[in-house]
Amino acid sequence: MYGNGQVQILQRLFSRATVVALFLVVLALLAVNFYTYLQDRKLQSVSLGAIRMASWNLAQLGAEAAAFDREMALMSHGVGDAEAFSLRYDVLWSRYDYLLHSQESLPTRRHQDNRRRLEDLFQQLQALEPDIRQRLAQPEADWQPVAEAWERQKAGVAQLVIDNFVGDETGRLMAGVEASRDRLAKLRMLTLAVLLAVFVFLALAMMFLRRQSRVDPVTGLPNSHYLRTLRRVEPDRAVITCEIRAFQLVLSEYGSDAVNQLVRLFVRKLRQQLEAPDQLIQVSQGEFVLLLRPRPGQALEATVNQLVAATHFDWRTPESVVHISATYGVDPHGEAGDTDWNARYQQAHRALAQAHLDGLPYYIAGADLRRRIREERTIHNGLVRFFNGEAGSLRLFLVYQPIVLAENRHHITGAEVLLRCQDDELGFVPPNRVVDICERVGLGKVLGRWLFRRVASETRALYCDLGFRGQLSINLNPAMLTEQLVDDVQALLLDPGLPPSALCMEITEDHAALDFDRINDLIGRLHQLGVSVALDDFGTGHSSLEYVRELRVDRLKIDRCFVDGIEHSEDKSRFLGSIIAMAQQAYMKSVIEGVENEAQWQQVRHLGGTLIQGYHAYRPMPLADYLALLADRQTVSPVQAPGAGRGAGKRPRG
Amino acid sequence: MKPRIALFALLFSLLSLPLQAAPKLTLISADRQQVLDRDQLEALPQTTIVTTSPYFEGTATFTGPTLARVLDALGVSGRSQATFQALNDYRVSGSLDELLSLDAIVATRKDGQAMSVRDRGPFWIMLPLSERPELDDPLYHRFMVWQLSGIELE
Repeated sequence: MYGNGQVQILQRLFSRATVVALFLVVLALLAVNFYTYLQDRKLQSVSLGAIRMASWNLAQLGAEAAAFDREMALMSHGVGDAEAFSLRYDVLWSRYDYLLHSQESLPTRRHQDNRRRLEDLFQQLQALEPDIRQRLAQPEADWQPVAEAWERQKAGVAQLVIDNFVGDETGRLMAGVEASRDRLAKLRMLTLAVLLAVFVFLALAMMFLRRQSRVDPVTGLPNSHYLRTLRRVEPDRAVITCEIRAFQLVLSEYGSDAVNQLVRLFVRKLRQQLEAPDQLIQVSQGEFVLLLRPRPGQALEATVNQLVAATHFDWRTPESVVHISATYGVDPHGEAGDTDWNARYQQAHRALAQAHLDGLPYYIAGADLRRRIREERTIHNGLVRFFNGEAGSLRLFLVYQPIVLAENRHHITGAEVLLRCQDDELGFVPPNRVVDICERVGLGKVLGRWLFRRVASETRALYCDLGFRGQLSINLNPAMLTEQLVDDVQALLLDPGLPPSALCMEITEDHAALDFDRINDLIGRLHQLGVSVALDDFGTGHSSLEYVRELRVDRLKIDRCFVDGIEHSEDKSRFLGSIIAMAQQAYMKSVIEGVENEAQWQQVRHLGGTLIQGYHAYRPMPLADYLALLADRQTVSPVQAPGAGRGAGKRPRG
Repeated sequence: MKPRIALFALLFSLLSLPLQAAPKLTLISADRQQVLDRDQLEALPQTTIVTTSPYFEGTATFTGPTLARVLDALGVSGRSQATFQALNDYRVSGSLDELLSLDAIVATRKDGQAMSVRDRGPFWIMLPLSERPELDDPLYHRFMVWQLSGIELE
């Protein structure tokens, strides 16, 4: 970048005064151009072609008059040839006729009083004809009077030619043309010079603006525009993102003027830690990127610690003292040959996010973070291909985990649909990771709708043809919780033939957190369709009881953590019992998750009135296994038939 | 133009001075010379050009043999240059190829009338300016020699 003095010169160069002055110069030039145009307009009728024609015609007139003059002289000396004389007379005649009547000689006629003089001369020539005829008829005639009459005309012709070539008016005209030509030449030079000046000015202005737009106006550091022009970064450099902690709070508390001072101070402290080849870029007011050369003999961690220490200070404002600190995310160095700026920058940002999550002053990205980013990219690409119906390494499919009565594990009241993800490279991918990625990259709705369609196509035969009426619980990912949910349920689940009473939408506390009114409205509209709603993973969120109180769900799925250890602890067992009782009080059916052994089972069964979903009853299974299980002789399940049990029937809400 | 002068002009333009010899066109080609009068020219196949020009107002009809035919009578083989000569000693030269490409005629009559010297006769190299507007240019106007008296081939 450049120094302050340079900036001032540039700013003066592109000040308003300079621009206005330049504008005035151009305006003046335009005015001069216009003035010249007005001056020269009267000369425009003079074309070089016309001048040439006029000169030629007058020269010819002079020559033809001279030729006739010679014949006249011969005649008057009695040695003329009548035929030649007549010819010259006629030729001269035709010249006058041409000068007076042809289009081509119009400019000649128009010049000065040429027309009148030509008419007079022509008339005089014609007046000679009777005398000439008479004398041609008499061989010994006296030609003297005719010659004298011609002599006078001859002088008129000569004068006409002279006046046209060198007369006053002609002289003025020629002078005017020359002056105009000189003026134009000067004007052209002037115009070129001004154009050149304007061009240079504009080029400089462009350069200035380009540089200016890449510099932060407060600190003079390269800014995000500059950052965008970065394509690659040397692999040995550490890419560090740095954020002033709680910057928005400081901004809202002290206003932008004070904060500008703070940012300048912060940058000064940061700069003191930098060495010549390091680069400091300001991304936004409180956010920076550093490209750091490794310090010889110093571990990166020590360098970052120095940065942290340097930017940990008390900022004294007139009113108070503010503790300022910053968080750093570090991508230590690229892998061999990895110069891709975007990947490095993202890596540093991941590290910064990790530092925030862990509440640390800095986080240095390692191989694990790098691997995670790569994996997520693989999963993301795989998902995009999968949803587009293209062949790829990643595949989503569904499994079903039966839900049974606590009293009778062969009484299957339904199942929860679970998402499974298999990647050729990564193997089994946990479904919540798939959901997280989908939500983050905007594929949430696509995923939810794919799930609905898949569920409908897999279970349609079971419900429509076999009359099965067991519950089918479907997890809703956060992106599905919008106004469109009801339409999606109708179009993708109910329209294909699934009975609404069999469907149960599961929402988790995490995403129900947003807005109880809105979620309750959605739940109400699902109820209108006849679809029930369950609150999933109850007990893992932060304000579980409030959810139970506020949300009008039909079922409570109690998290496995409440089952862990109940077989060993009376207290835990009682606690679980009280949750179930509370759910009953709120007219909710409880589903206990994670029952994994017989002892736990017996405890839950003892608490009574609940449904169980867990490994001890059945593991999640493919559809074919689920169908086989339902068809088993031992199994009891609700079907649409007279007198069939409605074991899984939901409770009406009060 | 004043009416009286117009009347004069009309009257005299119909007449030439007496004692003027029958108009002749002299054709010269190095070793040989040929002289054609109006009758001989009009005995050749005639071509008509109806055109405007910078030399008169309105449209006029010219008739006469084509330049190519006139030169054929003389023989053009081995010749590359032609010079037109007028009664007032105007001379203009051009390459034979160019001149023959102009569709020129040696006009002997304007609007059916034989042309006097005062009418820029007796012969006038005429180009079809109306039919081929690209010829209406000073570059070609110079070949439209009036009061044509001779053609010389080199």
